[in-house]
Amino acid sequence: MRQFRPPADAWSRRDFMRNGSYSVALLCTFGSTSSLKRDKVTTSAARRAQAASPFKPFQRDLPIMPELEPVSRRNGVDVYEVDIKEGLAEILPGFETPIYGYEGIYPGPTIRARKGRPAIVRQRNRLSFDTNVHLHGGHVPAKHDGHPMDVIQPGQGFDYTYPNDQDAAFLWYHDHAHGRTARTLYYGLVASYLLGDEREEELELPQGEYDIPIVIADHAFNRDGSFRYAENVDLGFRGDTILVNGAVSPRLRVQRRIYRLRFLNASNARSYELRLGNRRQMLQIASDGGLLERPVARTSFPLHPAERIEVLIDFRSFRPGSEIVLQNTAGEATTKAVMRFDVVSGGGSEEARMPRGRMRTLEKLPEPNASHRWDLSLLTGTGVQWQIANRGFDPNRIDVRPRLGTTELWQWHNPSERVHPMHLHGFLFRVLERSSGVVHPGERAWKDTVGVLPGETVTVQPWFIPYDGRFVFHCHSLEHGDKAMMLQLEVVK
Amino acid sequence: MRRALIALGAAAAGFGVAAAPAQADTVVIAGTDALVWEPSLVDIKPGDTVTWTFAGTTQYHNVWSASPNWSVQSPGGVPAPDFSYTFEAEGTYDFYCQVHPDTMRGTVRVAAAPPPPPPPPPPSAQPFGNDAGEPLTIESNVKLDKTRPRLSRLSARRAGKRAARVRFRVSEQSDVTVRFKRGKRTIKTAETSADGVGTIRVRGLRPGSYRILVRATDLAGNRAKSRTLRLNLR
Repeated sequence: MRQFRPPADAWSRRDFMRNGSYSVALLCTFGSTSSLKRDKVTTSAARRAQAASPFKPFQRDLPIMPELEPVSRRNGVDVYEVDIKEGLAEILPGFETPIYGYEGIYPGPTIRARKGRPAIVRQRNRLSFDTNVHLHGGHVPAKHDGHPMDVIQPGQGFDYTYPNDQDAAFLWYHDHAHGRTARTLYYGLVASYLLGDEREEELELPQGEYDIPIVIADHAFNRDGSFRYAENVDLGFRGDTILVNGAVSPRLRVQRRIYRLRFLNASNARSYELRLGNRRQMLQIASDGGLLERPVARTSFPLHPAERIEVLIDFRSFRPGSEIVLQNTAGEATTKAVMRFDVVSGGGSEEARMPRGRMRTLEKLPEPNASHRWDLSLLTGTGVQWQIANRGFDPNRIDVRPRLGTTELWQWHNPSERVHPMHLHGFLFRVLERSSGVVHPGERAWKDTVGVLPGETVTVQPWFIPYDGRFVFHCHSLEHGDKAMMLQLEVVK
Repeated sequence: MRRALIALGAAAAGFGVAAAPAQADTVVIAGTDALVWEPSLVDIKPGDTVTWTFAGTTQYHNVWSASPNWSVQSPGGVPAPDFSYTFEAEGTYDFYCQVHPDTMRGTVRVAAAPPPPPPPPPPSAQPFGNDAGEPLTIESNVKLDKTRPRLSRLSARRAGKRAARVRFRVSEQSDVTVRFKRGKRTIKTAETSADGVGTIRVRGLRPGSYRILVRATDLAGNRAKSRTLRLNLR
């Protein structure tokens, strides 16, 4: 495995502050300050000078990630091409932040796939170290899952084939090369994969510009605008700034319509508790594995790393000019503001509907075949290693062998002081029991990641369909997963 | 911080008496839950001892040597036990916490004479802290629309064979419904979305006398007072 290094290029190595002051001096030679005000100022130094603080929330509009266009649609298969490469993002006004990105952007481009239409994503590694791509939440053959040991070497490529046979869900794709995901995801290798189906259309949910993926991640910065990362194996990384779709706590101008907002927690290790305004209502319609059986009204919901929650927010009753903040009540002073919705007029009449009653019927699961208890703990002594059932990751060892088509009872037992968002590759599960209380109705549909709180035991029932082979399950607090809170399962026929 | 001052003071005192024979000092470096060493750089003279302390910490820490000129792996814990090491030979000794290897790095410099101060780090290594932590205004200017839309300038007339056109004006963006009735029976219903002046054309009407019910519902669901028109189609 080649060694990771933070993204950089010639530009990023320059001293931004020093370069910035040269630019200001140059401007002053040619024009007065009044011309500065009149003209649209585009130099980075001027933008920096205008901004009160580059961290002030609600200064930028929510960026919407571009959608990837297939390069071919022949034979009922959509083929996409993606370069995994370095790029520069303008995250703080007037600064350029070096990133790693799918197509060189952060977050990466959104793929909109359709149930029943397979997709091939041709990923090419233009980085200087190994990488791979995991479709998080996807039912995909083991070879295409992005197992930590199946990597793409620099200059090489791999065609990930996604059958898209599962129900509509908000999936996402990210790097999964073993031992460095905390850094590669932090530096930008994160993107959305929206799988749609007919059922969603029957429900007449909002579409197009009213259906928005929202990728939340906490970050920190250096003086030159580059991302600042500091490894914390115990707590996991904590940043002092919330980025939403790559902008510091942005605002979204919303019309008086219904919006489908798809939240993804792409943070390394931070859990959120999201609340709309003064406890305004959000209608949760989906979780990791797609639609809930029935919509659930919520005023606040927790979102652990790698989890997804989709809500409908009805802005029709608000007058234009209303401003409503989505806040993280679990945050500190500078990580409370997530984003703001500014209601504006226009938008015409609404074709979408707020669903009432049943949205889907969840499949009845076979009786469990086996049960396993997985203790989640920190091994200390001469070294530090996070463990599952007193074991760290060993690619040469298979830790559990479920039979294809069966279900099992898996108990996550967490005596540690940290939250462990436990994620199972390749399969979905249902949350049966939480020792801390009842399982919220918003968590009773299909899931692929569940937040196990300190002191808690959570029982889940995975269903091992549709593919056999070697997969992993791990903690999605990335510093924990990297060091080495991950085991292997092999689903056998 | 206080501990840091003591440590620095101790280090300075150490150099002050460097010429005097064999007075060994102890310098304290505190491991903190802010994930830094306080202080992260100490200057001592040969024979001095450094003690790493972790009192009151709630995260797991330890001290590992990070340069090849010494070998140390202290026991960790929450909080970790104090750990001491006496430096006999001149040199630069790096150390780190294995759990927080990026931020908890430090150096002990052992020299008989004080070394020059280190250069400042480049901007790409200096933290740019978020200073925007003002109290949040959770909602501002939030007003719910509870005003009913108003229908005005209503008219209905024949518009071709077996068809009629209803004109109206609605005070805000609304869904407008017209219902053509004969007696209690609804013959035809049509709906449109409008803001301001709008029309709805209804076809398939047989000759006769109609009562036309016009309704408007705004985006927030408020309903206008319904209005009635009459039309004789021949």
